[in-house]
Amino acid sequence: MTILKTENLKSFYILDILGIKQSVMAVNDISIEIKENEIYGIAGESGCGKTTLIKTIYGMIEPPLNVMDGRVLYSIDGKLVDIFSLDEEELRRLRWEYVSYIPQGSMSVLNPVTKISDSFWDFIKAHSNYKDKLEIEDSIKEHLNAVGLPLEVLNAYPHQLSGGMRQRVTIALATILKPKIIIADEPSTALDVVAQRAVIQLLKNIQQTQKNTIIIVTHDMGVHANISDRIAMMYAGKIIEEAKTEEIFENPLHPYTKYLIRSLPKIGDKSYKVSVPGSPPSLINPPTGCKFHPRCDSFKPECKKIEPQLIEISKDHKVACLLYSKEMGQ
Amino acid sequence: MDFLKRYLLPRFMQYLLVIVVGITLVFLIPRLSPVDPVQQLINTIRMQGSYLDPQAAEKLTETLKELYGLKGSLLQQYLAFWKRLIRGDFGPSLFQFPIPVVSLIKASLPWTAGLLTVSTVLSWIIGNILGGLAGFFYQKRWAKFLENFAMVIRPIPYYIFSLILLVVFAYLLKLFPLGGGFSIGMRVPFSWSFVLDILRHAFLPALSMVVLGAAVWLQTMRLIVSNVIREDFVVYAKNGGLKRGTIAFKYVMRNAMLPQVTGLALSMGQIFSGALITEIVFSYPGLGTLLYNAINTGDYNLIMGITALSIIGISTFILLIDLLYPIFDPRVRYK
Amino acid sequence: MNLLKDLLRDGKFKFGFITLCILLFLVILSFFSPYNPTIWNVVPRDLPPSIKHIFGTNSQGQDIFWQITFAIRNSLIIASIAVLFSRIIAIIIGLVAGYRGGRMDRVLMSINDSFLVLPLFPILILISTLIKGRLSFVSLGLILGVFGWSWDARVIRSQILSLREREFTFTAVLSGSKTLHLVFKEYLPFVIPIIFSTIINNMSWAIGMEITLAILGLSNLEIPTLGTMLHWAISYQAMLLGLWWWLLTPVVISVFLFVSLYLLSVSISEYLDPRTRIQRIGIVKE
Repeated sequence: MTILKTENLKSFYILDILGIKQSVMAVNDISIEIKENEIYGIAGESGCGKTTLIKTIYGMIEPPLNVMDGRVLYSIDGKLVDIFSLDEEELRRLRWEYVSYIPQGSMSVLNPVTKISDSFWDFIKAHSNYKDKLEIEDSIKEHLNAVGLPLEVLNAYPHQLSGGMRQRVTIALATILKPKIIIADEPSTALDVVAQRAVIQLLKNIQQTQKNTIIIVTHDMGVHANISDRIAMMYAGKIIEEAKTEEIFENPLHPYTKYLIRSLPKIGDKSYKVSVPGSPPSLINPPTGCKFHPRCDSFKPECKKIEPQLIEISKDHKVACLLYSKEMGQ
Repeated sequence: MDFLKRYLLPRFMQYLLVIVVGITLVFLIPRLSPVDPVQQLINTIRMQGSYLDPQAAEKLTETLKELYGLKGSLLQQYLAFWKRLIRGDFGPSLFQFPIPVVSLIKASLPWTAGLLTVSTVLSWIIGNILGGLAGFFYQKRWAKFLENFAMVIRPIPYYIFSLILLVVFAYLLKLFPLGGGFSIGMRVPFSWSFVLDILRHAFLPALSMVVLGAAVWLQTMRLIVSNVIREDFVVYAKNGGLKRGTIAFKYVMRNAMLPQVTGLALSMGQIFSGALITEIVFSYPGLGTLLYNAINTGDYNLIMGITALSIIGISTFILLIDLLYPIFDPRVRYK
Repeated sequence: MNLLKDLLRDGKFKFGFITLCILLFLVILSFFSPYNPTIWNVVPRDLPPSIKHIFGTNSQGQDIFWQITFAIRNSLIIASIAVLFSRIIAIIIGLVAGYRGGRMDRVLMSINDSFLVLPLFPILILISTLIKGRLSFVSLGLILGVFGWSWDARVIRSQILSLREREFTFTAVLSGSKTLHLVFKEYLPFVIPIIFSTIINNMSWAIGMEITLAILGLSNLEIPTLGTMLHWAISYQAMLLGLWWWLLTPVVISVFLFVSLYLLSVSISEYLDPRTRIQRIGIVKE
C-alpha cells in the first residue's frame, strides 16, 4: 500500500561564501509514508522547506543541496528501493515513468524555441519505447483533451499560449506516461481564481481516473480542503502534524495548526482573525528545542530544551508537540 | 505582411541610417581639416622645382579640385559625392595615379575576405563549442582553466598579439614566413604547392584572429550557458528525465546561440578592424596593408574609398544577420 | 576601507590591483627621471639591459627604463582624457534617452547604434591622417572620446529605464520634483557604479587604440607613449637587429596593463552584480 516513504530524511543547503560555511536546514529529520491511490497534501508557510522536501523526494539533488542523512524509498514492483542507491541512468529512467512533477508557475518551463509537440515528443522519447507513432499521437491528443486544450496547441510555441494554458500543458505532460506518483508544487498559485478551480478539479479527476497518488504542495489551506485526503503540516523543516483532512480542520492539535485553521474565514463568522505572531524562524540558526516555541502561546520552559517527536495521538493523527507527548507520558 | 512591417522595415531603415551617417562622416572629415590638399599638392610640385605660371597653376587647381571632388559649395560636393558613390567611383588613387581606387580595393579584397571569413567562422564555432562545454561542465577543472585562459587573452589588442606571434613563430622559431601573402616568384596559376604556400603564409594571421576571436566567444558563451542552465525550462527538462544530450543541444545550446548571433552582428565592426590590423603586422596583401600604404603615401582617396566600402560592407553583413535571426528565434517570427 | 578589503578577497582583483599599483609606481618615478624623454642621444645607443640601464637603451640613445615610465604616464593621461569625454557624452545621452523615451529615445538610440556598429579603425585612420603630427594629448583624447561612448550610453539608458518604473520615481514626480532635479539627485547614485565599471573597459580600449594609431605613425611621435615607443622600435627594425629589449619592454608592459585593467573591471562588475551581492550580505552581518 505504501508507495513512497522517507526515513529520517535530512537535506541541507551548504553555502560556502568567501570561506565562511553555513547550513540551511531545510529538511530536518522527516519521516513520512505515502500510500497508493490517495492525494497527500503538504502545507506550510513560504520558506519552511516544502520545495526542498519535494526536490529531495524527487531525487533532484544538486549542490548546494546535500542529503545529509536518511533515505527515500520508492515501492517498485513490490520492493522498497532506496533511490540514492541507484545510479544516474536508473534514476533518470524512473523520472516521469514512475514519478512525475508539475512545477510551480509554468511561465517559462517550456523550451521557447521549440513547439509544444516537440516538448511532448522529447519527454516521450526519453523514456518508453515508442514503436507505434500513431498510438502515441493519439495518446497525446487524448491527454490534451483531458486537460481541456484544443489540438492546435501542439503547433504553437510557448510564448503564444497564456499562463493557464501553459500550466495545463505541464499537467498533460506530467500524466502522459501514466506515472504512479505525481508531485504538484503549488499548481494553482500563479493563476487567477477561475483557472485555479479548473486546475484543482482537473487534478482531482486525473487521480480518480488513473487511481494514482498525487502529492500536492501548497500554502493555500483552501486548496487542501478541496482536494487532499491527508495533510502534513510543515514548519521549519519538520513535520509537526499529520492527519486526515477533516481531522486537521475540525480538530487541529498543534498550536501552529490551530492558529492557521482559526485564521481561515468562515461564512457567518465575523470575529477578528488573529494570525500567528512573530515571523518564520531562520533555517540557518533555528530556535533550540521545539522550533515553534518563540511564537507559541502554550509555551512552557521545557519547550526550549526538548525537541518533540512526531507521535501518533489517535488513529492516523500524529503531532509533534510537548503538550501531547506529556499526556502520553513520554 | 505584418511581420515585414514590424521587423524588417525598422531594421532596413537603421541600415540605411548607418550608411548615411558613416558616409557623411567620411565625406566631412577631410573637408573639416585645416589642410587644403590641393594647395598642398601645388606647393609640393613647386618645391620640387617645376615652374608653374599663374595660368597653368589655376588650371591645375581647377582640375585637382574636380579630381578631389572639392568643386562647388559643400552641399554640391555632398551630392556629387553620393552620385559618384552609387556609380562605384571613388576616383583615382593619388599615389598610384591613375589607377582607380576601386581596382586597387578589388585586388586586395579577396585576401581580406578570405582571412576574415575563415577566421570568423572558425573562431565563432570553436569559441561557442568550448564556451558551451565550459558552461555546462562548470565544475570541472579544465572548464575553469579555459575560462582563465580566455580571460587573460581577451584584453590583448590585435596588434600586440599578432606581433608576439610574429616574433615567436616567424622570427625566433622560423616555422612560418615573416609576411606577405605568398612567396615571391611563385607561379600564380593554381598548383598544389601554390595553395600550400598561401596557407603557410596565411596561417599566422589566421591563428592570431582565431585565438583572439575564440577567447571572446568562449567567455560570452560560457556566461550565457551558465545562465541558461539555471533557466526554468532546463531544470524542468532535467526533472523530466530527458537525456543529457537532448538537454545540452535542444534546450541549452539552441537558446544560448540566440544572443551570440546578435553579438556576432554587433562585433563585426571590431573584428573587421582587427583583421586590418593583423594584416598590417604580417604584411598580408589585403585591405589592411593597402590602407597602411595609403597612410604612408598620403593617398587619401584610397583611404576614403576603403573606409566608405568598409562601412557599407559591414552594415550589409549586419543587415543579413538581422534578416536571418527570425529563423533561429520563433518569438520574433510570431507575435 | 571595508570596500577595498572586500574586493581584495577576490583573487582576480588582487592580481589586477597589485599590477596596477606597480605600474602607477613607475609613473610616479617618471617625475624623478634624470633624462628628458624627448631628447635623443643622452646615453650610448643599443646597449642591452645592465645594472646601469635596467631595460637597456634604444637606437635613439635613450634609456628605455626611464622612457617607459613616461610612456606609461602619457598613455594613461591620454586614455583618461578620452574616458572623461566619452563618459560625459555617454551619461548625457543615456540619461536623456532613458528618461525622455519616445521619439527622442528612438532617434538617439539609432544614432548610438550607428556609432556602435561602424568600423572605427578606418575612420580613426582617416581623421589622424589629416591631423598627422599635430595631435596634442587633448585632441587625441577628444577624438577617442567621441567614438567610445556608444556602448555605455546604452547600458546607462537601460538602467534609467528600469529606474523610471520604480515607485520612488512616481513619488518624486507626484510630489512635484522637477525633471532635472529628479534625474540628478535620485538616479545618479544608481548610475555611478555602472559608470565606474565601464570606465576601466573604456580605458583599456583607449590605450589600445592609442597604441595602434601610434604604431602606424599617426600620432605625435615626439612624446613618448607606449604606442610611440613601439612605433620607433619597429621603424628601427629592432627585431631584426637583435635589440629585443627595445621591443619587448613596451609589449610586456602593455600586456600587463591590459590584463590588470581587465581583471579589475571583471571583478568590480562581479562585485556590483546584485545577484552575488545578496550572498555576501548575510556573511558580513554575522
